[in-house]
Amino acid sequence: MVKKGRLLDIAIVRFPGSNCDFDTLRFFQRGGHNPKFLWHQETNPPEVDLLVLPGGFAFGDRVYEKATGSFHLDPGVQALNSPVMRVVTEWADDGRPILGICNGFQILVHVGILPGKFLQNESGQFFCDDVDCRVEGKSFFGDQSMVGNVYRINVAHGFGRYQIDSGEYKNLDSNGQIFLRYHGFNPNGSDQGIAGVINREGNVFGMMPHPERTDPTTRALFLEAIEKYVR
Amino acid sequence: MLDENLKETIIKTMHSEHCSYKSTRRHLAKLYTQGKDVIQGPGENAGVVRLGGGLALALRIESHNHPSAVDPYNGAATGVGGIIRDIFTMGARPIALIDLLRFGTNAQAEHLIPGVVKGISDYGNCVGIPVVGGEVFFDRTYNGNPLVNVCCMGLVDEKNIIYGNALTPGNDLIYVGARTGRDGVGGASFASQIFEQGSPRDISAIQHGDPFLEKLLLEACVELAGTDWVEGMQDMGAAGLLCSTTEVAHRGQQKTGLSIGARVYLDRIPTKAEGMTPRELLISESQERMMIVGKRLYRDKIMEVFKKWDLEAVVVGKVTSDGNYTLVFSENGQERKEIIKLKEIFGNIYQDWPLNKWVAQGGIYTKASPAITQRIWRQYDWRVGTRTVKGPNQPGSFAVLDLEEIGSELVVAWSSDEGRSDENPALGIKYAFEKTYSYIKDQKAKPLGLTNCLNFGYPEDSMGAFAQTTQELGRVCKEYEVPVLSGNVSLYNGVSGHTIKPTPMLVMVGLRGK
Repeated sequence: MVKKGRLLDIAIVRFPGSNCDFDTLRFFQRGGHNPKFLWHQETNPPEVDLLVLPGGFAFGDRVYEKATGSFHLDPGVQALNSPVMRVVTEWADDGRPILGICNGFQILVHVGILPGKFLQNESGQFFCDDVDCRVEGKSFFGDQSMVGNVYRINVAHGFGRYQIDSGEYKNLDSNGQIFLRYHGFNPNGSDQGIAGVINREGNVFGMMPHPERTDPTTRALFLEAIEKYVR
Repeated sequence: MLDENLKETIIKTMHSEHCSYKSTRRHLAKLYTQGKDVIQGPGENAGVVRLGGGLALALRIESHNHPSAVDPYNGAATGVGGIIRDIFTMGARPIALIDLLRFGTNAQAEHLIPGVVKGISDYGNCVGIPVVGGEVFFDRTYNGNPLVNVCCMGLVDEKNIIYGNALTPGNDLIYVGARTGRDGVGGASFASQIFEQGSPRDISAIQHGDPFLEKLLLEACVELAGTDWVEGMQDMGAAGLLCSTTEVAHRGQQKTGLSIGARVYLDRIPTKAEGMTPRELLISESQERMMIVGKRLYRDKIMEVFKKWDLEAVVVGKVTSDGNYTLVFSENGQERKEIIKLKEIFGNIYQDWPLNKWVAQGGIYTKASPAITQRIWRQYDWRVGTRTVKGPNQPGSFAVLDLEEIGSELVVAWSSDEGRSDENPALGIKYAFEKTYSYIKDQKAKPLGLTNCLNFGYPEDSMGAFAQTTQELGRVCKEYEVPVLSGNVSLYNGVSGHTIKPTPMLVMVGLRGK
């Protein structure tokens, strides 16, 4: 299916252990766009419209020198050492659009591009199910037509409990930087049910729920929002 | 003398029930394995069936019952790791897992459930393969001996299927993945031993899994399957190095008719423990290791792929034309060689048991409530891969997976005898078959084949039931023309004083248009 208007070029940052890499690729392919992988060793910014950090377990949530050697657990830290993170940081600083999903959101928070921090789910367990999420604030990629709507989106994570101190929360809230909240059921104990946030400049979006896992109608809405923003 | 000991270890290990199927092979021969779409039946790492459009499905099930009884978390996790490797060893990208669990009714069973579930969850979620369904039943005969059966399936282009064979003398045997340690030394014979409750439980025979390494191996192997650089792959499971290097040569002999052999340089094996003996190196069951039969010409290219995925890989041997299994290692500063004819290792080993009539044990066989199963499946990532059309969030012992690339859907149905084999083993397996078959038909799909996991007790009291089960499964599969693509047998399930009820588990796959 090829839509009207210019096709988008998208780079999906692939770390070892990114296991939603192909899902994210298909999400954009289904919309007729041109996604490609950007290996974590890359140092040159790609010629694309959008960077995406997909879900998964980048580096298995570990820190190590050799994959087959010893390691310790510290989710997100290893990814910060990847050469590609320099591309990501400069991309964000230039005001160009980035989307981080699940583990991608965790990495963006860890590197300091997005505010807050993540803890293990309140239940102490991994949680996967479809949950209701409400769009608000500056919305997903600024699409005002989505604001106030509730979408059923799959979440799948063990460390999705978003935390933010109360002062920062007030700022985020009043700036409209919280664009997604769990509606009703909160699957991980996140502060104020926060499921997705935007950076202050409004070009970097991070969300725990997986838009690529939604039904075709919802998927199309999320894709359209990105298309409108990027074009 | 060391030589004799080593030889003895090799023969004894390869002739264990776990590696040789010596007690069950005669019975398994009765299964119906034919079909025009069957590309590979039982005998390989996984069965493979044609889906159309150049695409095929690799399918297999495996049990990890004994390890899960001793160490529920690691036992279940490594069970998942093992079955995932069986699938990508065929060159297939895994797309779904199904877990079929049985627990006892005592206090210990309650303690086992969270460990088993977390083991499956932590492993499968990290590798990124959705658990799209499963079932849980309770029965007192599973006290002390839970059943953890995990089924995996994957997609492969027909032209990219890889087999566990070495065909060409001079090619490389490449070791890749985790280092070898003392973990799981003797696991193959462990699985074939009677489990005495209260006796010291050998926790050292339980391996620890590493899902991240598995993910790296998966990506590297699937990438290699798309090239013309490898002629075989074999995962290192039971009796790891020994079994993998001998099996590829043995299958090579069968396929080429040539006297293919294998030579392995034990000093080159990457180790994580000091001073490992040849015996330990051969039978260690350290997880996440693969043996690649690489074409000599493409050695550098293959190594490049492993390097990209940050994997340690070493050429540890080569394919020969002498029909021998040759081990080369140093001992007291001297180079030593141990040579065994492959034919000696893979003789026609059979062990016949009396086919005693099964004695019913009675008692209530209970299905887990939806509240319990929801607590379980919510810990599994069941949507990763974005193929899950019908997952565990909706009722029914089946899943529907999107096969976008060929415009079809895969219907996967599972069932066991639900305790009926205790009264009558033949009726039990017939019930399991008909149930899976009806799910596939109700979903308007065309059945393609099935995989089966046959969990039984001690051979002394269970082989009669086993024979009835395989006989009836063979008959009913033939009647409905549903071939058995692959399977697994687990014997010796029981602890002192009792044996489990015969527990056959089936997973059937079917295809339908969208």
